[in-house]
Amino acid sequence: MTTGPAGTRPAQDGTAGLGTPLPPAGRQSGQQGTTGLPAAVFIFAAAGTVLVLLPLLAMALRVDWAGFWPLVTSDGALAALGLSLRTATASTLVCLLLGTPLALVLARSSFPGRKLLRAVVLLPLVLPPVVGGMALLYTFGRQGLLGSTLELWGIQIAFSTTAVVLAQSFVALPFLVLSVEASLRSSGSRYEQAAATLGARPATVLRRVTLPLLLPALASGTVLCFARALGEFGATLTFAGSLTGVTRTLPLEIYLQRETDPDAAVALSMLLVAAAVVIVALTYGRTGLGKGARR
Amino acid sequence: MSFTLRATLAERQLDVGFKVNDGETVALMGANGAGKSSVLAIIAGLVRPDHGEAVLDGRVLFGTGTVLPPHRRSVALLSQDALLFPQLSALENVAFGPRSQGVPKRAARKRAVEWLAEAEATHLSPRRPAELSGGQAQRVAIARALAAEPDLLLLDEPLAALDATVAPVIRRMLRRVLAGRSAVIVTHDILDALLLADRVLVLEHGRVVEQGTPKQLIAHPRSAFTAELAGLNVIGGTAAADGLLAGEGQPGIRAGSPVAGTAVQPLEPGESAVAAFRPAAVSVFAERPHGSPRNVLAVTVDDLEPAAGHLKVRAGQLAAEVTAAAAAELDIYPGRSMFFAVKAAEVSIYPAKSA
Repeated sequence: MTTGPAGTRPAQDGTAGLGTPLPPAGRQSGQQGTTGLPAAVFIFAAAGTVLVLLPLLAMALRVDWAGFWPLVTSDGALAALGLSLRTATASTLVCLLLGTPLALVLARSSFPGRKLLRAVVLLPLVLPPVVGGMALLYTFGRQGLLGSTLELWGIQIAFSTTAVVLAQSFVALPFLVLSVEASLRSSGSRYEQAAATLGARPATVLRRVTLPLLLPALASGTVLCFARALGEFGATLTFAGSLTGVTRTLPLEIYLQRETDPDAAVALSMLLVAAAVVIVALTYGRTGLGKGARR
Repeated sequence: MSFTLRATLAERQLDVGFKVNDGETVALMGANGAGKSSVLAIIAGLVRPDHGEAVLDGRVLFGTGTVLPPHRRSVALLSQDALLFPQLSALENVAFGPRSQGVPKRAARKRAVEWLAEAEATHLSPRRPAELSGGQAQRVAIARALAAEPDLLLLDEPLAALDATVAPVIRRMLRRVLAGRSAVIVTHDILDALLLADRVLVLEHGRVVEQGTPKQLIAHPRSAFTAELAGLNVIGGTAAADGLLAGEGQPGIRAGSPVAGTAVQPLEPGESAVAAFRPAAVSVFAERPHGSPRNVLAVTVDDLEPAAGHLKVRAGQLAAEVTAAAAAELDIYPGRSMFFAVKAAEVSIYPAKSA
C-alpha cells in the first residue's frame, strides 16, 4: 500500500492541532531512539537509499549537458511539456472540486457503506494504471457504457485531451482525498461544533471554519495530485493514445523518444526528476520543517 | 428565558431532568464520567438523546418529532479549550456569532467590540489566537459566546485549563457576566459553584442525586462527592438508635460498623442515612483508645499529604488532620494500621438522598 501523503499525519500532541495554543506534550521530536539500532538495520537502510539514488545518478551521468537546452526546447518536447502542464493543472482542479467533498463526506458523515466507499475511492492507488485506462475506455470509449450515448450528442472523449485529463484525475484523486480526509480526522470537529453553537449554518461552518483549517492539507494534497497527474503514463496511453499536441504528454514523449533519440529522452527525464524534487521539497520539506517550528 | 430538560441516553447511562429558571445559573457537578459533559452536548445539539424533551423559552429544542440543529438552538457552548478559530483575529472571532446570524458586518464588529470590552479583552482584539495566552484566549472565547447572544449559555469547565493564577481573575469576570443570565456550568471546583452558581445539581452515574444552593450542599453534604467537595468525611449507611450502621462498598470502612452521632432531624431506624464530620475532628491513634464516648474506626493509612498548616492523613474515603509534630510522634506512614477516633458530638447524621 502507498502510505499517506505528506501533511496528513495527525497533530503531534494528539490534540486538535492546527494552531491550538496548547503546548506539545513533553518530548520533542529528534530526541527519541536513544537506545540505538542494530548495525544491520543501517546496512539495509543504506541499501534502500542506494536503490533510489543510484538509478537517478546513473541517468544524470548519461545526460548530454551540452545539448540539454536544445533537446528540452525542441518542438516535440515543448508541445509535450505544455500539454502535460495544462492537463495536470486541469485534472488537479477536477480532483480539488470532486475530492474535497468526497473527503468531507468520508470524514464527517456516517452512513452505511461509508467504509466501502472509502475503499472504492482509494482503489486507483493500488490499481495498475493500465487497468484504469481500460476501465475508462469501457466507460467513455466509442463502444463504452456512456461513450455510445455521448457519441449521439456528438461528444467524443476517448483519444482527446479531455481523456488525458480524465485519466489523470482518475489516478490522482485518491491522493487529494487521503490528504484532506486525514487532516479532517486529526483536527476533529470541535471547531465546527463551536461554530455551530454560535449560530453558524452548515454552509457558513464549511466556508469560514472547515475550509480555512484545511488549507495546509489542501495545499499538500494539491501538490501531490499535480505530481501524480504529471507523471501519469499507463492510463493515458491506454485511454487517450499518443497524438502529438493532443494526448502526448511528457512521460509518453519520453517513452517514444527512447527509441529514436535517447539523448532527448534522458534530458526530458531529468526535467521530470527536477519537477519531482521541487514537489517533494514543497510537501515533505514543509511539514518536516513544521515539525520543529510548529507555532 | 427558562429552560427545562428531560433526557435519557443509554450509551452514557444518562437519565436526567432539570429546570433552569430565567436568569439562573445552574452548576452541574459530579465525579468524572458522571455524564456532565454529555448533558451539555445534548442541550447544544451535538449529541442526540434516546428520549426526552428540551424546551428553551417556549421553543422545543428536541422532543417528539422535532430536533433543532445546533445552529438554530440559540445555545452557545463554551468549553475548557477556547477553540478560537486560528485564522481569525480575536475581534473577528467575537464577531463570528453575530455575522453567522446575519448581522451586517459593521454592526457585528460593533457588537464584538462591546463584548470584548465586557470581557476585559479590548486590547486583544487585533491578535490572532496563536498570539494569546490561555487566559487571554478564554476571555476572547467568553466574549465570543456572549456576542452570539444565546438564550442559554453552556460552560464546560471553563476555568479548568487555566493557570491557578489566571483562573480567579477570569472567574470574577464570569461572575459579573453571568449575573442575571440563564446558564449551565459544568465544574469540578467548589469555588466555581459558590461564586458563579445559584443552584448546584450533583450528577452520579448519569442521574441527578442531589441539588440545592451551594451553601446548602456544603453545609449538609449527602454524598461522598459533595462531602469531598466541602472537605468533609462522610459515611453512608442505615439509621440506627443513636447514629447509623455503615453500609457496604465504602473503602476503608467495615460494613456494619456503628457510627454514633447527632441526627439533624428525626430518622426511622433502617432508613438510609449519612454521617458527616470534619477531618479536623478526627484524632489519630496508634493503639485502640479506650473509655471515651468516641467512634473508633480501624483504618489503614493510604497517604499523607500536606495541607495548610497541617498534614492530612487519608485512609480509604476518610481523612484526618494532624499536626506535623503529631504525625512524626505517631510514626504515621502509608500502609500502617491505625485508629481514627471522632466524638459522637462531632458527627452529624442526615437522611440520605433518595437515589
